[in-house]
Parts: sequence; structure tokens; C-alpha cells
Amino acid sequence: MSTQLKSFLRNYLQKRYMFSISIFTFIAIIMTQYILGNPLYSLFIIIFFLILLILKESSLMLLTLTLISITVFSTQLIDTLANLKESDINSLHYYQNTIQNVFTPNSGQEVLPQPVLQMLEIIETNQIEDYQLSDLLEKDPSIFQRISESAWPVRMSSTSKYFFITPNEIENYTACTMIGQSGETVLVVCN
Amino acid sequence: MSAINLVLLICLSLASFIGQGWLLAGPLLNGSLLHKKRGNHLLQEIPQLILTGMVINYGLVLVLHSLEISLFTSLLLGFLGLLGYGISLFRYYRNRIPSTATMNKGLGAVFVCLLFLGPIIGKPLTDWDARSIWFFHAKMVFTAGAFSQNAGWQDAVVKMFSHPDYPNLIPTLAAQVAQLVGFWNEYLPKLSLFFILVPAITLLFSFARRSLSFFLLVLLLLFSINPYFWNGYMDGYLALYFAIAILFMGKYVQKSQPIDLTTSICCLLILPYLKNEGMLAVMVGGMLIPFIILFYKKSIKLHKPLSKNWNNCLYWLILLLPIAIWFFYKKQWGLVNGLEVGSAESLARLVNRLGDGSIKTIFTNIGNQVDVSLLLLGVLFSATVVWKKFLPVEMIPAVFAAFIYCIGMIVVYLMTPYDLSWHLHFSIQRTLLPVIYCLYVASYYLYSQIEAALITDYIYFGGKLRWKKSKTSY
Repeated sequence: MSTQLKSFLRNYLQKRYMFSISIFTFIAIIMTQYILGNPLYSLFIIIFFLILLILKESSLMLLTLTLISITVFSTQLIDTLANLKESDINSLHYYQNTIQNVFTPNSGQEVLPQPVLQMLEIIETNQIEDYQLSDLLEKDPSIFQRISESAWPVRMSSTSKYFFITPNEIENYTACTMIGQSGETVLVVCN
Repeated sequence: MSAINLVLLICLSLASFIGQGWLLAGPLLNGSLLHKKRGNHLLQEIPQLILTGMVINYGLVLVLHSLEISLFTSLLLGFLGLLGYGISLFRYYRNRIPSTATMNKGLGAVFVCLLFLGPIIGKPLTDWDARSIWFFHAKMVFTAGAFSQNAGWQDAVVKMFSHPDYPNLIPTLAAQVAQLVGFWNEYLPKLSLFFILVPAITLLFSFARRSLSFFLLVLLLLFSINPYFWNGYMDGYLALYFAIAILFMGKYVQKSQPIDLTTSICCLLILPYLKNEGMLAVMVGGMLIPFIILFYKKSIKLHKPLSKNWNNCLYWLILLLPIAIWFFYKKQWGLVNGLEVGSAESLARLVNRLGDGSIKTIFTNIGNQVDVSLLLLGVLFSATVVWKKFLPVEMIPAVFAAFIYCIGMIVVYLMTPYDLSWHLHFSIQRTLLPVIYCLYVASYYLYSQIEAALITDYIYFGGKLRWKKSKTSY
């Protein structure tokens, strides 16, 4: 077999091989979308495929517009850009506030739930080193986890004599003495 | 304190990481502390140095324990390394200047980094895992003044919800930032997120071209997952670095530059420092690299025996050393992962769930996450088939990585000790980000190929509004 023929055959097979892979992957993507519960997306790909077949000419513009449309409308792109714009403009416009927040100890605690802020205030006033939560407070993960991390290194301990309770629970802690209160949060000590 | 202090803090930290990185990468990858290897692109080299420096810094904290001593040591080593890197840069660029393209790409990277600085330091920590896990660990280290057993890893309450076994690179950086200024708040420690974002964006901009494909790549990788680059979660960073590793793997397949493979491996090796899923990503990358070397690059130096690449291997081993130390500490301190992956119980759960229809629930949830990325890929494959374009070989690692990683995550979900629906509901939108990002990378390479082929036709054969049918078809 001549070298030319060999080269022609190799190129032909390579091209057919690559084309087969393309077609196989294309069908696999349509099937995967369907199996994963996105039949509309499968349909969209098939319709897009048919449009390209009908158009005959390669149009980079059509492809690019389709890709950009999918990116803009189906991902969180707009939300991200809006968030970035808001944060960057705020940071620049009120840059002194931003810098002040960045370099102030304990700044940013306002994001914590109100009962947690009250507990932090009581901890600071009474200078306690450990505490427990009443059953009611402990059941609420937004209080349990938030006070655990925000009060750290003041630790939650099952052996502590200090209990954070709500005013409704005072009757369960009659043997204890109230030593602090802030809003709807009460600190009692049980010896 | 003023904005100047903030700028100084950022510059000093990044310079220190570069210096520490050079202390390792200089002798091992460049052959000398005072000479820079020819052909290493600055936009790849500097991020690689920053990442290496961060890992060395973390290793120092793990070994020396005390934040104060480790900070001082890191700064000292950073200064020495920076001196060496400065000399090597001076020697290298004495008779030449970096190209305008490099400078433009660098400026682009700086601009995008600054875009993310606003929300990173302007928004306090609010999201659940960021407060309960990552930055809580940072606060524990900072308040203890040391990365040691006394920091509170074994505290019953911490063990209850804070997953103390999770990797601690970012929390350690955050604790160091707090140590530098001397106090804790909900803003400044987030600067650690910026430090890890800078190398990623710079690496991404090393791909910059005046093309729509690069524009799409930046939109998809940096702007398509709303809060994950500034809310204190690690999932966005894990996905981003995994995608960049796969991007460079593709570039290596295309151009055979050893620096691309080194960068890819460096990005892979940073993943276990970010999240436990990073181990899965490293395994996926570890499967792909020998495949690429054996099937595509038979003639390159890296294919030669280990003895000829001892410096590369040593560099990668040292990069893995701190995580090995952390694993050792975890074992010593009795910190175990809640997922119990690999235990007899988890295998029993896997077998049970394979038969009870759970797999269908997992597939439905995965379908809801990867729909858009598969749609993009489907649209691009339509164009490839109809216009009879070549499939770019460089997209193959991305497709395989997405597939294998997805299988890995399915197995993890099948083994979970938690209620499957609950676990999927609260995590799948984050845990599948690496799969989505790999599909985006595959889309980028495919689009890039189509774009290049069509524009070549446009240039050579003319065209008006619509480009002519390609000659570079089958």
C-alpha cells in the first residue's frame, strides 16, 4: 500500500472516529438531560441542532448569543453582578465606615439573632467563664450554634452553674438566683 | 487604622507568601534561589508561589503551634525568599521587560480581584457553615493563640456541630490575620478568602485572550455562583481550583509545557487543604494525570523515571506534608469525620440504598444542579456535529473529571449516615459545583475550538455578518 494511501486512510479514519465521538457525546448529553429529569433542556438542544441544520451556514453569532443567553438567564450571573455592584459601591461610598468596621474589635455582631446578642451582653457584664442553655433555648439551632461560636472562648459546659433561660422558664429554675437580664434573656446561677 | 493599613496588610501578606513559596519552588523547580527558569510565565509562576507559600505557612503553624512564633517565622522566611525572588527577577528582566500582553492580563486580574474585595471585607460573616465551621475554627485558633489540642477541637459542643476534622488552611490564615491586628471581628478575618482568591483569578487570567470564549470562561467560573466567593464557604474555592487544575491539564495536553502540568498539580494539591471533598478531587486528578502522560505525551521529560524528576516529586511531596501532619493530629486528637466514609456501616448503607430507590432521588437532585452546564455543552456539541468541527483533545480531561467526581459524590451520598433527602437538600447545590465547573471548562475548550476555526475561516475566506462555512471541517 502506498504511503499516500496509508496517510489518506489514517486521516479518513481519524476524522470519522472523531466525528463518531462527537455524535455519540451529543446523543449522550441529550439522553443524560432526559434521564436526569430535564426533558425540556433535551428538547432545546434538539431544536437548536435542527435550527443549525436548517441554517446550513456556520454562525458564530447565533452560537454566542445562545451561550450568553443561557449564562445570563440560567445561572446566578445577574445576582452576582448586582451583589458585587452593591458591595463595591457601598464600600467605596462609605469607605470610612468600611474601614472602621474592619478595624474595630467584635464588629459585625449585629447579624446575630437578638437572644444571642442579649446573652453576649450578659456574659460581658457578668464576666462568666462558662454557661448552659435551658432546654427551650438549646432546641433552637440558631441560638445554640450562634451563641457557642460568638461567645467563644466562653464555653458552653454541661457542668456550668450558670443557665441562660427565657422568662417563661423561670418557674423551672426556682432554686436558682437571677443574676442578669437583657430583654427576653435571663441568666440564673444554680448552686 | 486606615485604608493604607489594609492595603499594607494585603500586600505584606501576599509578598510573604510569594517569598515563602520561592524558598521551595526556587531550588526545586528553578534549580536555584537566585535564578528564574526561562519560559515560566509570570502569571502562572506568581500564583503558584502564593499557593506554595500558603501551604508552607500553614505547615509552620502546625509544627510550631504558637501563632505568634509561626507568624514571625513566616514573615522572616517570606522576607528572605522575597529577596531571592527579587534578585532572580532582576537578573531575568535586566535585559527585557515583561510583554504588554502579560501586563494587561495582570492588570485585568488585579481589577477583578478588587471587585471581589468589596463584598469580602464589606459584608460580615452571616452564612451558617461560615460561622459554625470555618471561621469558628479560626476563632478557636486565634483565642487559644496556638494551633494545638487546647484550642478546643475536642470540646463536646464543638464536636456536636462544628466538624473539627475539616481542613484548616483558610481558618488558620484567618486566625493569623486576627493575630496580626490583635483582635477578632466578623470582617477582617475574611481577608483570608481574598488571599486564596488572588492566585485563582491570576491563574485564570493567564488564559486571557481577546476572545468571547475567555469572556464566557470568566463569566462562568467567577460570576455564576452568587455568594460563594465571599460568604465564607469553601465550596466555591474548591470548585474554582479544581476547574483551574483541569484547565491547565487541558492546556498541557495542547501545548506540552511542563509549567502547565506543575501548575495543574499545584492547584490539585491545594484542594485537600480547602475541604474534605478535596481528597476526592485529588484522586480524580491523580487518575487523569498518568492517563494524559501515557496517552498523549510519551516523549516528554516527565515520562522519564522518577530519578530524573526527583525535584518535582519532592516539591509535590512537601506540598502534601502539612495535610499529612493535620491527618496525624486528627488521629491523635480523636477527630473523626461524621460521614464515616469507608466504614463497614457506610458500605452496608450503600448496598441498602442501591436497592431502595435512593439512587433515583440522587439522580433527580444531580439533574437539577448540572442542567445548565449540560445544556451549554449540548448546544456546543450541536454546533460541533452540524458544522463538522474537530473535537478539542484538551476538553477530554474536563469531561472525565466531571464524570468521575460525580460518581464519587453519588457514592458519598449513598453512604451518608444522615437522612438522604435532608443531606441532599442542604448540600448538593454546593457539593456538585466542581462537576458543574468541569463541564464549564469542557464547554470553554469546545467553544474556543469552534471560535478559532470559524474566525480563521472569516479571516481567510472573508465574510460579512455571518462567518462562512469552515474549511477546517471533516
